[in-house]
This record gives sequence, structure tokens and C-alpha cells, in this order.
Amino acid sequence: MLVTKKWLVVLVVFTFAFVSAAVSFSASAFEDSAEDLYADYKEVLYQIKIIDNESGQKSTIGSGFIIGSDGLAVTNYHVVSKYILHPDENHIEVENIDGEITDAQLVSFDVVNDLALINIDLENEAPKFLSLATELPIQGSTIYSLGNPHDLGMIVVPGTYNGIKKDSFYETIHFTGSVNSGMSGGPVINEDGQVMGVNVASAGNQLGFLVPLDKLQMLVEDTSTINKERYKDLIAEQLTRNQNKLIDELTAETWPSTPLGLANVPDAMTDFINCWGDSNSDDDDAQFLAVRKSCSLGQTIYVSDRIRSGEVSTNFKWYASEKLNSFRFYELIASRAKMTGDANWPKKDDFSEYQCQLDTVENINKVTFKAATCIKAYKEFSGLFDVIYVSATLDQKNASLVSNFRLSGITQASFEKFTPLFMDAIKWQ
Amino acid sequence: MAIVIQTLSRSKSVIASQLISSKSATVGRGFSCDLHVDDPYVCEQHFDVLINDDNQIQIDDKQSVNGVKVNDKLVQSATVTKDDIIIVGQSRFKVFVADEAIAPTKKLKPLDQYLERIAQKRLLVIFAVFFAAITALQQYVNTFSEIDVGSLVTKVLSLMLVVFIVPLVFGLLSMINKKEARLVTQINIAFIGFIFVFLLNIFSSFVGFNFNQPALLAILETLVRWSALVIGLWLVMYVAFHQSNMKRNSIVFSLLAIVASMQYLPALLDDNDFIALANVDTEIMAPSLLFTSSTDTESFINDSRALFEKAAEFESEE
Repeated sequence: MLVTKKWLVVLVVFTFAFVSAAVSFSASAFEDSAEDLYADYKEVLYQIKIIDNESGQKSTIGSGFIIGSDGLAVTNYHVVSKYILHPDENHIEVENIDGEITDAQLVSFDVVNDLALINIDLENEAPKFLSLATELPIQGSTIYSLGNPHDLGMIVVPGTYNGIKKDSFYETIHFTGSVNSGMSGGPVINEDGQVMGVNVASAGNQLGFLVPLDKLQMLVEDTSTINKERYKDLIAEQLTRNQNKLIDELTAETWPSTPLGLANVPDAMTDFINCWGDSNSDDDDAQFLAVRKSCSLGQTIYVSDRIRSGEVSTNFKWYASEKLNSFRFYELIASRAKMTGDANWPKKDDFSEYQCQLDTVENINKVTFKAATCIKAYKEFSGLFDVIYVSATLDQKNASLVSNFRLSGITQASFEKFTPLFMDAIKWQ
Repeated sequence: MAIVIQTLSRSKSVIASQLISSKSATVGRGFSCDLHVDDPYVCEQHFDVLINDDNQIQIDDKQSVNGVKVNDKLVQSATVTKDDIIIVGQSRFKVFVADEAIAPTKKLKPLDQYLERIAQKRLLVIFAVFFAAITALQQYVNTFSEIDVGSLVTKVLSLMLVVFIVPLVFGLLSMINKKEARLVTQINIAFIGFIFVFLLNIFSSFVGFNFNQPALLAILETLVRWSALVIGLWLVMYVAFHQSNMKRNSIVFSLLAIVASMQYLPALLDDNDFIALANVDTEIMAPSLLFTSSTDTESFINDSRALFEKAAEFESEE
């Protein structure tokens, strides 16, 4: 007995030593090439700062990299958004790896894909700059994310390229490696030093989202210059174009239907809408059954630190009860059929007040419901509105379907396209 | 011939009236006086009262230490009527001839008769039971978990306690003012008020559910609520203190003005006011209470066009 135990200990020790050796070997291999890359490309990396003219202090920092000898550089829209939205109160400053500070001018931007081009005032031609890759790498190859997280100086994060994010309205690259918020605007390069994409933000631990190559190429190729008075109009145009396309794709085909309680409700409207659900059926004390099905786009567009746009979400809840009488049951429904709140508390500078409408409606499938909708207008971006909607069916004594949707940053035409489809999609089985 | 001497309080209301059946009388701290006054600032024989040949009351100071004041004026001798106030030491009096004409008898107003009817204890019990029933019913309808009778009773009783607060305060106030408390009437008025508000809530939910005009309904409801408050307050004060109508009206409306300005002034003065959230009440009730017809999807969308116009109105303002 004693002998076997000893052998077991030896075996465990050997295994451990072997595994740790293997791990440290592969890690050092990674580090070697990362270090090389850092030495090779540190000159192309800049820290981008937005400086408040009044106080002279930085209000935002991020990363950026040059892609031309004349100082043309790429960063994120959200890094320079403070300047774009308030060009008279801020200016852009950049700092290279040696700590030299120069000014930079905004060239163009793409709010939807979170990209911006700036021109850095260089005394001499840049000796080194990054070139854009011509095509995306094969899945599983190693790529490197460069940036400046938390004001600590440049760092390199190696990771794996996992292809374009599937079933997503916006093309983003899946990257396993941690992209911190301060690395936003930094480049993602392959082993040959070509730009594959731009860091956007960290959606959690080991999952970075990167803006893919073709969006960047499109922005670089578009050489038109913009007057700073037109920045907000351009944001409105880009959002309108994007959200019109979004609603067009959402409403292009007949929505699939799925049962929920006694009703049929629309399932995921297109492949880029994700749905999930739950219920309280495991709660034995509950006086009623509540089954939920929620669908959403999952991504929103950063416009300013107070405004996210482009949200699409729907929510269906089936309530039924044998224990509550009709009066009590509909008090329950009244308490549940509420307008869902905003993620950000809307500010007077950004939005109009909500305008609401309430009515009893019978849709084309003879389903009767109380419906309410509220809309608010964007003050800075003319023609765009946020819409919220809620309805509750009134056809059963002790059962009701409560439906919600939220669309943000859409036009009136999009509302008139989407809403009737949503209202008429509900039917009894 | 007889003299009436009334002792007044500081607020000039009558504390006691004394009839003296002779043509003259003495007033002072001495027990031999016709009217004994228990006031250390009054002399043993302070002043004399007599009915003169013109059938008027005349008063004469008997060289008192602190003197006699008629309507705040120090006098040696004066003729007074029933409108004059005589101050000696710290005491106040009115003196007049007993056969002087008094104000005609007031007729009982219908309001007094109604209030008399409300003052029945039997009604109090009926109101209490009714109030308990509707509050219990409301709690029952608004609870979506299993009904716990214990907590239901506690809630109904605590609401009942709230109803009692106002009448108790006014009862106490009228007792301080040496008036009859009339607690039963006060409590019954409070019950009527609370029951009215409960019924109004149910009725307005019903109207809202059927007619989908939350903005209009809110205005109407506010109007009814404020008028109910005015009527209630007026009645409670009518019962508690017998002020003149003018005084009561001015108290009620100034109270109302204070409450209303506390509620509405901040919003009126603040030009930065901005309702950030969509707090539309969906006004849902059991379908069996729906009596109006429904519209269709297309009309709903058509109606919504006005919302977009209204939301974009800020553009023309700037």
C-alpha cells in the first residue's frame, strides 16, 4: 500500500514539471514575437488625448496609429467624439512613445463602425507607418492588439483571430485576447505588421471586438473633407443610413412565428437578432404563470457618453392564472405593462420630452389589446427618434400577452414600417 | 331696569354674563361688590356702573390704582354702549342695559341640519364598515400573491387610523377654543372624504380604460380632487369653529394657496423642467369593464404622426 502511494507522488510531480515546462515554453515564444513587434512598431503608435480648451486638461484618452508618411492616423470615433461633438471647446493632442506632444486635426469619421481619421502635425515625414492588409487572415492565426491601456504606456496583447462575428448586423472580428478600454483605437496587426482591424472595446474578459478591415479601407478611400460645422449633420446622416438599412433588413421578410402561451408571437426577426427566454414555472408559490421571450440586436452605437443609438429589442411576456380572478389578474397586467426605462437617463440637451399615445386596438388577426407608444426626438441629430411601445391583450379573462419593443435612433418612416408589422404579428393559436 | 355685565376673554369672546337687577352696581375685587373680579390688578372697589336719566350706562372710576380704560383710552367717567370694551387691570368687560335690543335669532341653515344628521353614531359605524370593506377589497385586488389575512387587517386598520388623524386634530383645536369638539361629525366628514377619493380613483380608472385620454382625465381628476379638498376643509372648519364665513373662506383659500404653490410653483419657476421618462399610464382593467369599441392598427399608426410633429417642435422653438 505504502509503495503504491510513493509512486503516485513521483508520478504527479513529474507530470506537473512537464506541463509547466511546456506552458512556459509556449508563453515565452509568444512573448518573443510580441516584444519584437513592440520594438518594430512602437513609433507608429500614439496616445490620443482630447484636451478641454478651458482647463487645458485631458478629458479622454485612447490609442491611435499612423498609416501614412504624412501623419494620417486611425483611431476610434469614441476616442475623439468629444472633439467631434464640441469642436470649439476641445482640441486633439497626440503623444508618441517618446513623450513628444503634437497637435492633430480631424479628417473624417464613421460613427457606426466607431472609426476616425486624424492628421498628426509632423515636422518630418514619418519614417515608419502601418499599411492596411489586403485580406483577412485565416481563422486561428495569431494576431496582435497594440494599444495604450489605462495611461500606462504602450503594450502588446497577442491573441487568436476567430473570424468575423457570425449573425451580427455589424461586422466585428472575434479576438481572444484582452482589449482594455484605453487600448481603443490601437491597431490589430498580423505577424507581417499589416493592419487587420482596430480595437474597439472590451466586452468582457477574453473577448475583444475589433472593427474589421473593409470598414477602415472604405473610410481611408473616401477623401472628402468635412467642415466642423457639419460634423453633427454627418453623424445624423450616418446613423440614419445605418438604421434605415437595419429596419429595412428587419422588415424585409415575413417574421417567423413561435407559440407563447395561447398566442403566436414573432420569433427572431432575422438571423442577427438573438432571442432568449425564461419563466417562473419553478416558483410553486406563484399565483400566476409568467413566460418571457426577449429578442435583441445586442449591439448599440456609441454616439456620445450620454447617447447610444441603434437599439432593437422586443419583449413578449405571457401571463396566465387560474388562482387570480379577472379583476386581480388585470391589476397584475396593469402593473407589468409599463414602458421600459432608458438605459441612460435622457437629458434635456439631447432629447425632446416623450410624446405618448394610448388606444385600444384590434389588429388584423382580431386580437384586441391596449397599446401605448412614446417617442422622443434627438435634438442634435435632426430626423431621428427613440421609440418605445407596450401593449397588453384583453381577449382572455385570466390570461394576457404583454408585448414591448424599443427602437432607438430611427426615422418616422422606419417607425411606420416596423410598428404595424409588430402589432399585426400577434395572433391567437 | 337691570344691568348686564359680560366678562370677556383676551380674544373678546364672552366668558360669563351677569344680570344685576338694579339701577347701579359696583365692580371690584371686594366680595361686597355686585360683581366680584378675581384679578390682583383690580382694586377692592374699582368702578361704579349706573343707568343715567337718558337710559344710558355710565361708568365712574373710584380712584383705582390702575384706572379704567374704555376702548384702550384711560377715562374718569364715560358713557358706554354694548360695543365698547372696558378694561380694568387684566380683565375685560362689556356693560349694557338689559332691555337693549339683541340681534334677531338666526335661522338654522339647511347645512346645519345636514350636519346634524351626519352627527349620528350609527352613521359612523356604517361609514367605518364601508371604508374597511372598500380598502380591504382594494388591497385584495392589488395583491398578486396569496392573501395574508393578518397583513390585510393591519393595512386596513392603519388606513383607518389615518382617517382619524384630521378629525382628532380639529376636535382638539375646537376644545382649545372652548367649543364643542363634535368628534362624530368630524370623523364622519373625514370618512365621506376618503370614501369619495377612493370611489373617484376607481371611476377615473374606468373612464381612462374606456376612453384613452390620460392627459384630459388627469386635468379633470386634479380639478375634482382640489374641489373635494376645499369642500372638506371648509366643512371641517365650519363644524370645529364658528368663525364668520369671510374668515373661514379666507383661511381655507390661503391654506389651499400654500399647498397648491408648494406643489406647482417649483415646476412653474424652473424653466429647466424636463420630464425625462415616458410615464404613460396604460390604464388596464379587466376586459369585462371595456364598453367602448377599438380602433385598428392603421389608425393607431396614423394617429402617431402627431407625436412626431410634437416631439420635433423644439426645432421651431430654437
